[in-house]
Amino acid sequence: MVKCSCGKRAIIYVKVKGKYMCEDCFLRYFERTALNTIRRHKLIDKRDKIAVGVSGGKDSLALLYFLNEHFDNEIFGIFINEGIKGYREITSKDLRKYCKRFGVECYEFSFKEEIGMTLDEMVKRGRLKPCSYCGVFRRYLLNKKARGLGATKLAMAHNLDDEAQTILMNLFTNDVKRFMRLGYMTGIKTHPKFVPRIKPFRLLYEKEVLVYGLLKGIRVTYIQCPYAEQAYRVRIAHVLWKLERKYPLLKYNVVKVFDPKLRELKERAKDEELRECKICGEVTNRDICKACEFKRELKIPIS
Amino acid sequence: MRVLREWDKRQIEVKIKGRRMIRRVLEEMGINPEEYVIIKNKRIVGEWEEVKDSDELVIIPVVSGG
Ligand SMILES: [Zn+2]
Ligand SMILES: [Zn+2]
Repeated sequence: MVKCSCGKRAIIYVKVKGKYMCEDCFLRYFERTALNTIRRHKLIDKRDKIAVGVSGGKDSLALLYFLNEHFDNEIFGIFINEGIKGYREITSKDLRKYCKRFGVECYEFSFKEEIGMTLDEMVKRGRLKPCSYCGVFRRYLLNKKARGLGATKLAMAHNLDDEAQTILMNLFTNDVKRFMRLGYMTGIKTHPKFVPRIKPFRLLYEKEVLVYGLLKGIRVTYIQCPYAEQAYRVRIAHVLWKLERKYPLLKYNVVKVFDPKLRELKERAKDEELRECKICGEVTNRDICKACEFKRELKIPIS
Repeated sequence: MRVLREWDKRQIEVKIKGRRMIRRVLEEMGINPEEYVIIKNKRIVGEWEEVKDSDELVIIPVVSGG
């Protein structure tokens, strides 16, 4: 039997620590890592009102649970229903069940009502990949709604795997602008209309997040977004899984080696001005925001 | 041994002679243990643990949603 250093049966090997851990020691390690991330990067202030971007998936539910357990701040979920048939109905059911269990309020908004079209309809009508529309409109609505509900921070459940994928995607496409979305907190370059995004799970492997959730009784329906196979991200993820098997800690190293570079890039981008979209008034770094541009392409009347 | 695949809810029978390490069993099924959390007889276990024919495994993919 492989044992934890405390003598109990190990259930997981924690690569970052090079240790086999039992349930209790793992839970302590997990929560400590997230709390240290929050403290070290000053992600949460006592006065913050925290919106958590939730999808009904295991990661965001684990984050909602964790924050609600450890902080006295006002915390609520924001769920964006993109309108993906056969997928969102299921995850939203899981979401409601767990929000009720945790005693956390969750606000729901849909593409259909807020943008004027479901993602399924956009995919039929537009030229771009589903993830392009989904990403832009979801980010747009999360920020707008978080602000509308009075949130001062928007917590996202991005984990180490997500972050490593994003770094490589941006690297491979030479997309420096997108590097701004990386890091523990984005939107430091404050604009009153931008709610800073925080990522408390940034240094935790996705597998660790799943195990944490399972140990806390979070077991959601397994379902994959039907558009995932078309996503560049998913292809990168497949490669990373294979590499990580051969070279343990590879994802961690990708994220860590990039941190100093990230600071430099963010510093350089500070001069770039954030402003309000001439059409909708939401915050953007261009004249017309990406959401309004996409609406135009999709021929959605702009109100 | 009964193996339940969480992603499609399919049950698979795998013959185990004596005791075998979970890691080997999964690799033979073409599954990268890195990408899954394994539940043996209702408890989370490491891929280094052994199984026998009367055990029951559930394998949960780490990646889901999107
Ligand atoms: Zn222990
Ligand atoms: Zn706009």
